[in-house]
Amino acid sequence: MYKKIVPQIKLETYEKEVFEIDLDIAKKFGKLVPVLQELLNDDKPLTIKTINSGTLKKIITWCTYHKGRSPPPEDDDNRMKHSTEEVSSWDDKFLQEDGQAALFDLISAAHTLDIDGLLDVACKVVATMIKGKAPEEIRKVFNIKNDFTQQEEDQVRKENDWCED
Amino acid sequence: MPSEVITHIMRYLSVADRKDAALVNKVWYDASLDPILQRDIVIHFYGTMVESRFPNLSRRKMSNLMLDQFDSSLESKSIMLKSCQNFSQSLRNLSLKGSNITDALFVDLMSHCKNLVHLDLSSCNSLFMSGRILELNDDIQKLKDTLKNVKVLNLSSIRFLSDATFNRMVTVCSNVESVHLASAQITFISDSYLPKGQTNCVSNSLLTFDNILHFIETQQDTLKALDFTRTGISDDPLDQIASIQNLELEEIVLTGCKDVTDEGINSLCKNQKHLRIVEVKGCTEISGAALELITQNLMFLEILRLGKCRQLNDIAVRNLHRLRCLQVLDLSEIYQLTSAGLIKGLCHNVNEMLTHINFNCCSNVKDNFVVSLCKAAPNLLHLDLGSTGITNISVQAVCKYLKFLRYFRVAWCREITDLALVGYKDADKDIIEKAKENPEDFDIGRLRRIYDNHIIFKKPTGFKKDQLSASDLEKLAHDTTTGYTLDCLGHLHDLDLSACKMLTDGSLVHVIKFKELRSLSLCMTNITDITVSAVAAKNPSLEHICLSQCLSITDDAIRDVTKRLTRLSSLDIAGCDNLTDKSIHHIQMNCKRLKSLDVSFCKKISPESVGLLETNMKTIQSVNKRLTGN
Repeated sequence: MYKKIVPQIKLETYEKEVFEIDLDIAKKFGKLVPVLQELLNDDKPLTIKTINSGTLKKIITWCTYHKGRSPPPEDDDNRMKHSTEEVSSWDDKFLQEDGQAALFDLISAAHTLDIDGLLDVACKVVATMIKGKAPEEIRKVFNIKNDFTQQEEDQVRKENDWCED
Repeated sequence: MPSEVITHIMRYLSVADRKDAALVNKVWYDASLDPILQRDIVIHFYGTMVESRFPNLSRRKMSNLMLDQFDSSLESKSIMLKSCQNFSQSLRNLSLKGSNITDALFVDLMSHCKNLVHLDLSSCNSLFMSGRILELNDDIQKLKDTLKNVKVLNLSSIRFLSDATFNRMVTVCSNVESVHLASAQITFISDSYLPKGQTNCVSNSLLTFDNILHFIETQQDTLKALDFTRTGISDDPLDQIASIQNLELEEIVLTGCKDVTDEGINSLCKNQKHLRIVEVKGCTEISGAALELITQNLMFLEILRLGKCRQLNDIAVRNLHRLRCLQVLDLSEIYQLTSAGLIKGLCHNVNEMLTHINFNCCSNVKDNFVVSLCKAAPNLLHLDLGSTGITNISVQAVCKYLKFLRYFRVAWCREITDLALVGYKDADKDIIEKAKENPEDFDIGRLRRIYDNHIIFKKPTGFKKDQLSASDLEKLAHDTTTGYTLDCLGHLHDLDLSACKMLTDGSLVHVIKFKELRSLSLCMTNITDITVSAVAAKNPSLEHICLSQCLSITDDAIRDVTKRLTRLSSLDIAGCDNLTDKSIHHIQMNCKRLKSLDVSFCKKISPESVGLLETNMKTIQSVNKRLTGN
């Protein structure tokens, strides 16, 4: 049977594992768009040390799933208004199934590679976790240390007192 | 996580959520200062604050500042100047509402705000009293440059506004697109005030319509919005404005203009076809003919407010479906409207644009319409069904279809019972039947009543079942197969169940649990401490809570509310007879952000303890302690 040749690029992860990625999917990586042609001709993989294999696999899965579906363009106003309403159940499950650490890895990878749709939806999922929580609860959920002194914290509270919507 | 990513996450959070998130640690705080996150935050300074409490906000690039009711003291002046200097470049919206400023200070303040888009001077009476504002040519030249970006100018409720001062204001705001003159004292017949032999003149004491018309004519290419709320404007002046050749208005606000009739609306509809916003709430002379013209001509209409236009009836609203872009519709307090007309007007076809609807006090609105509406407008965000004749079936339909709803008001719908909130087995069947019900037959029966001399009490239609026990309700609340519980509305921000007398702890304990709920009213319901405690435990975002005239609640309920709800900013417990000074103590100890408190008519609360609370709580802005301790 005749096999269609799909142009691919090569990426190397933190674990030195090399992935071959279809061009259609690589096009979604905003950061790579300017160098895509170069990468196509190059046989040596591009090393991205800040991304591990598990995360890259997930990114590829996400991009493959969303290949046919283009999300509505978001302008800044839209972003403020619609908040977290339209995360699909597939996305929600997909992003949360491996736990929080994996989700954060995914977010920083999406940020590094500049994958807009993925970054948006992952941030929405995190935002949903934050809603209605007090600072102490947020710290507990995300395991963050408080580095404010009492005085600084009071100052921020004081500023907050005057902010309304 | 890098700061930009946290900023990105915060874009999906409300202002209240962002305030708490900013307290997590320094990185999160820095992330919260991103200018893009400041756009929907208003810094609101009250005139009553003292300078020592003035926070240092110099790190923030704020775009909205409100300087509310400042007096003329030196301290106030320095606060105002400092805040304008602080935000200068980033400031887009500035409101000086009701502040007592002089013209010199005004010029000073303005010279710091180079990028202002929205300037609100409403109720700044002292600024215009002398009539000398911007008298010097130098000042005009200076401000003309700094205020060149101002698009919205609000000159509402200024008693002393005259032709001369108005003209100077619009000269410095030379690119203005929207002018608000709500409650302005406009003189429409100015002939008798003119000096002999002159046909027009700029008055130093009066604001004449001729002068305003002249301004609109000269700015006809740029003006987009006009607000004449509660002025004496009538059909002729409206016609004169509407027929200006190159004027293409997008917004006209005529709220409470009782002299506007169908003719004025006719002129607007014929000449201003690009209108997107028409507000004629309380224009009582407007009849169905005007609405017919609106639906025929204003194809781009997005917001239409017709509340209190009491002459409107079923025939008038039947063509509302022609307005394909309509997003916001206010039909409150139009008593003649019935389900039959509304079904024709709004349920004709699916309308995905419609997001806000208000039927408050339309007592003839019934289940069959609400059920059809829920199917026809699936994207509703805001639904007010207060004082309508709906029953459990409507509430079930709302829970089933309106997944995005943020604001839901069913106050004074007295046929609603616990079953509406926890769902019941036959809900689906009832919903389908109600939607099919032939509305005409149903409503003719209602209308006949008017011609009859007898007062006929119709047997309540709607769903009736025997009172269920608490354990049954609990079972229903947790059994998803039976129906649609209220908490299906997961995005609710605002819920008003006031005076739904049949609601009890049985259902409320289980279904009021919303992550994003900010405002809740349960006033005049039969709830006890159990519901209040459950509400406090399950709704962490609550900022406003109204429990007035909940006669059974005790100090323990207030303890739970004040301890659990850290964001509480307004609390209304008026007329709660069982509350004592202990409640005041809880409030004082636990509420760090409380701004407004109503304890009027609380017999067992002493005025002294409330007085003490007022002096001790720094955040508090308003306390109503009328008739306490009686």
